[in-house]
Amino acid sequence: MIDDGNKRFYRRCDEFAICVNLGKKGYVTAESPEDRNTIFQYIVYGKGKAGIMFTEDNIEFKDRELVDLRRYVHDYVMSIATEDFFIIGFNTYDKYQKWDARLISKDETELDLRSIYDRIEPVSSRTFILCLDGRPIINDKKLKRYDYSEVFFGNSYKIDLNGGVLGLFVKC
Amino acid sequence: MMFPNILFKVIRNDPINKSIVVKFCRENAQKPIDEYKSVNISYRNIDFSSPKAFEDSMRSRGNPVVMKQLMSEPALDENKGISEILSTDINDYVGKIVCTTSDTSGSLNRVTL
Repeated sequence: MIDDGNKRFYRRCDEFAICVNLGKKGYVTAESPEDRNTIFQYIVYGKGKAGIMFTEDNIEFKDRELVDLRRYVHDYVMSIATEDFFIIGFNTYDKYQKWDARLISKDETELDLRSIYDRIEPVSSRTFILCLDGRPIINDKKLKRYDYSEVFFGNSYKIDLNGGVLGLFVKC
Repeated sequence: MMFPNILFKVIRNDPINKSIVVKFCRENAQKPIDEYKSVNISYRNIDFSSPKAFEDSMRSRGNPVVMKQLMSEPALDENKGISEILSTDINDYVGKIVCTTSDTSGSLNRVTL
């Protein structure tokens, strides 16, 4: 359900897509699993609640939080905004594809991918950085919101969040 | 998306072939309805059960016709815009006409680090 008081747009790349929602307090959505591929949401600002339709299974979300919605991806989901909101949804093209995600912390001045890639068994994971807010700097390159890059184990990535927010998304 | 009102004018009724010939245009079109192309609509696609149902049939058939008319209207030379300004400084936009698409999807910007 989209109305004129709320703005939504999509951006895609070969590996994933994002949907961006800006709207007013009180906005309600209802989505069927056929239409819903969102597995994570970053809340730029706003508060609200989302959960499986007609059940008590729901989660609350708030500012500057990466919300894990993977367990809802096969369900009918309702959400309500309890404040004006700006939300970036991270969408997979294949709901059965496993993804992990986290925000890069302000203490991480160098990206360490050893926990993902430094294993005895072969690893086929692919890792992406997505700029979610502000103008963070990686390897002296200043990113803007929705810029993304694939990052590779063995390469060096010096990070300065510069007050911004970066998401690390791993396609397992 | 809200549409302006749609005008329709039945030009001809053809009971032998069970169809009507109709012209459509927007109420705020910039030329008379008679100057637009006619379309043929089979009785099968029209609900004759009430005047309102008939009007609903005309609306559902007229919507895409009118949208096509709207999309094919030429832009004024004075309204030709540039496609983008690669700046977040609002001052770079002052006085310039920028053309943006109504498409809400697009590509993410991939950067090499």
